[in-house]
Amino acid sequence: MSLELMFLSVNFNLITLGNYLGDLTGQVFVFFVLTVVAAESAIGLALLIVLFRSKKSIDVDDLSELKG
Amino acid sequence: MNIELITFFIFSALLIFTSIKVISSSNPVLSAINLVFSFFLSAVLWLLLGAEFLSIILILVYVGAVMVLFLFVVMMLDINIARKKAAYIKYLPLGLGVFIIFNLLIIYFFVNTFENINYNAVNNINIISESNTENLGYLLFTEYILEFEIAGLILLLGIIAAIVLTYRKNPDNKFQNPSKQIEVSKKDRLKVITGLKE
Repeated sequence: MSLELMFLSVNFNLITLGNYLGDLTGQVFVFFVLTVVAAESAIGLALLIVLFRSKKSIDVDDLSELKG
Repeated sequence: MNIELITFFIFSALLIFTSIKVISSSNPVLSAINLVFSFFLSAVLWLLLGAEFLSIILILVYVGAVMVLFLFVVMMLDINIARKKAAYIKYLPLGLGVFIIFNLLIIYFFVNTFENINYNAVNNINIISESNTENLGYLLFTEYILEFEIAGLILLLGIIAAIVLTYRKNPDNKFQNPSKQIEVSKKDRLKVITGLKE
């Protein structure tokens, strides 16, 4: 969720500076960032579900072995 | 003070407050709901900046799809309230350093006014419409058509990866095996019974 917050701030920067320079390219870029973030969060949550099924925990510190 | 400025100050103050709540709350559900609030507030701010299409998209796609997915997963996994960790002190210097560097970059940007830069994608392909959505769509389907298709591919990749990762084969399900169907020969299916007497 912190990652989403950081993406939000990046998008904010792009839109603000695009507005400042009067250029629409920033908004196009934000559009692509939104697309990538949607795909990324879907994959990340799927990974989380797989992790929870095998470990019964989602703490990254518990992931200390290579064995599946 | 005009109404835009008042709106900006109110909504940005609320945005900062909810963002801090997102990272400080120990209950993941509460923090996700605060994240939804911060998306709404920033959609209003984007509207003020003249990015109407993106602010609608932020609410529809983010709040409507991504955050609902997030909340769904968080509630399904039934995580009890996170253990209190003091480890974030460890990352404070690094985070502060990144924060200061980014702020310096933005200050540098605004101090050196880049007025002499004349590149403007909208002027470049001669479409100037009143509507932000129209301009954005025009730009997306002319200048950035290749990137648009790559974005579609990335979404397809996301769908396939999520399904493959979470798919569990149920042995009770009946399904076809095409290679077995093709390999089947006459002998497996047809039995000629000979030697039968009347």
